[in-house]
Amino acid sequence: MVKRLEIDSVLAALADPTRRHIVERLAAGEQSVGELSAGLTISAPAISKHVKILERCGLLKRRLIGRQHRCRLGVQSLTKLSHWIDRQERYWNAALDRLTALAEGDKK
Amino acid sequence: MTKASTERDVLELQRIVAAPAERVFAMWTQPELLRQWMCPPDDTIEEVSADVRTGGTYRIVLRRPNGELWPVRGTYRDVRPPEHLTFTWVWEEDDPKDEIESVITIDLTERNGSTQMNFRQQGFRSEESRDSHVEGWSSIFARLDNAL
Repeated sequence: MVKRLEIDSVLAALADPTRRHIVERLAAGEQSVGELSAGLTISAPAISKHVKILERCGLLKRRLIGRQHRCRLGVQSLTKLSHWIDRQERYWNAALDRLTALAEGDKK
Repeated sequence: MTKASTERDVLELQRIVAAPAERVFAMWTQPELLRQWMCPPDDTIEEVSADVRTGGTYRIVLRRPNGELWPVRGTYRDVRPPEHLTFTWVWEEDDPKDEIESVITIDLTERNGSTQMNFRQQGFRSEESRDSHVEGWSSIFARLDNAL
């Protein structure tokens, strides 16, 4: 089971449109912080804050190459969240189908 | 008929069941019936105990195909046969602090012998993150399919 705090911090991180934008960019592959912020009309310190929040919840992984920070997607973190959400929906869709069949089958 | 919505923190599903509302309500409230459907087909229900009245509690233990046991429990908040049922839904965790409580509401409307069943599960996360008006994050998964 995925733990509450983990899920909450990922959801909170994705609540912000700028951070969602960054996450979507990361999906294209590893990038520098500079590349990530291209096209965004916010300051470098603000970008840095968003990157830190994403890093803290595991959505973003950072490594230093020379003097440059390279960022990539924390796939595991996103996968956990995705599975958790899917699990709710799959669970109930399957269960409600069974309820329907059972209720209808027994009415004759 | 199926309708799904994953907008924000709400899961909404709908079925038309060709059976009277009383029959459908019994499906949700009688342990021997619950046992026969309340999990995906690969799972089995190991045990069900349910005290179906407002304020009463229930506990269901699922057995996964890999043998794992997944207990879920909750409290009935509103029981009005045969058209309305509200209960909390909590997957038990080793540490209760990790548990996430959601609220499930079932509304049944009978028409010409068939019952429209509206299922709604809400509150997958803490108050704090719900207040941040999360919108659009679920669409991220559609775009990230390749990355995953």
